[in-house]
Amino acid sequence: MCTISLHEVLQNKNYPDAGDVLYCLFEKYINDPKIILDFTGVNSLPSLFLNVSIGKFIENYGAETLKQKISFVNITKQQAERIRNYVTQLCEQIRQ
Amino acid sequence: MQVDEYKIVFDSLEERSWLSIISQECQKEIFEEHVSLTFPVDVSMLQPMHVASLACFVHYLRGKGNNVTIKGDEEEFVNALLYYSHRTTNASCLGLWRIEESWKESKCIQITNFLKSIASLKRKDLSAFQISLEEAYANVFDHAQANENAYSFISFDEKKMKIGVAICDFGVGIPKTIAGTIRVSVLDSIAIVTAMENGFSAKSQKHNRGFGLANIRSACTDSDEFCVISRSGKVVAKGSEESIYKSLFDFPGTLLFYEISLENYDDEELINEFEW
Repeated sequence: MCTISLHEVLQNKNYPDAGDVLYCLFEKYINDPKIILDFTGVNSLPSLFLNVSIGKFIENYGAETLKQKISFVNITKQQAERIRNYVTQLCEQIRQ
Repeated sequence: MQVDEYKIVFDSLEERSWLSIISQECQKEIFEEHVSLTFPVDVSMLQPMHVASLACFVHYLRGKGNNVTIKGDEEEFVNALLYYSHRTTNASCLGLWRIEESWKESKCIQITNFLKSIASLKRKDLSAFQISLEEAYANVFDHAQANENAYSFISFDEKKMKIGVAICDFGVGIPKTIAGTIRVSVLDSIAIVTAMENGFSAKSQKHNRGFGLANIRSACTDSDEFCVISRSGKVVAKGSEESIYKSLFDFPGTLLFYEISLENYDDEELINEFEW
């Protein structure tokens, strides 16, 4: 099991670059039983970050794998809702 | 020696009149080197959309080689509004700034942190507002091709707890971007509605998937309006309703403005672990 600090991933990078880094970490730890994404200190999750990280993960591994493999901790209710909506909308987009 | 001067008078604060003046003057060839702008109106009533569009217009004129001056009784006030710099502290993060790629993300954080420093907003979850700015600024660089002519004006009314945002660019405009994607000619207002659809993307950059404008809109609460004007199209969204208009002018870019009633935002609530 590994824990990724999202705040550290976002440090000193623009959102698309940080998203690329996060996706690379997902791939690096894909064989771990669980990947924990810690949202401590993270205020914002714009789509230009989500699209190249979580969005790319869903494209390559599927939403079910995301739900089973990745846990989100120390997250606000709004962020959780945003991720839930994002996954739903992206899956709908991919289906079309 | 008399200097030839071209005079432009902003004699109304009404949105259509203001933008019509800007649009029409952008279509003219101004031969005079000196251009003066006057504002025989109550400039204390200027809204973010007035200032952001004016800043783009002044930038445009100067880029054409015109020497632009503000004249009249309101000279000092308007000049102060148009003055921008990389100020980094407190309430000075509000107001006008030219949108720069290197600054855009830290600017959003700075503005949000400033709002959080206000006692009545301290507990509020302002992430939706921050995201709306981030998405709007990202759109300028991803799609607009504005050649550095893009401005943002943000105001905050502490009594009403409302934040006003306007982002303007003199880029290619949404209709042209959409036409390039769908390869079909549509009305400019329909192009804007299409761009606002969740999941519709011009795919100008690899990180685009078409959620940007929808995210900005969703940051507005049900009582707030979100307005997009681009070329001759205008769309006003309020809650789930959309009103579509054809402008009588051809705005030379995109102007996006909205207001958020921050008191309607929920308090921030932390959950230990997210369950699907």
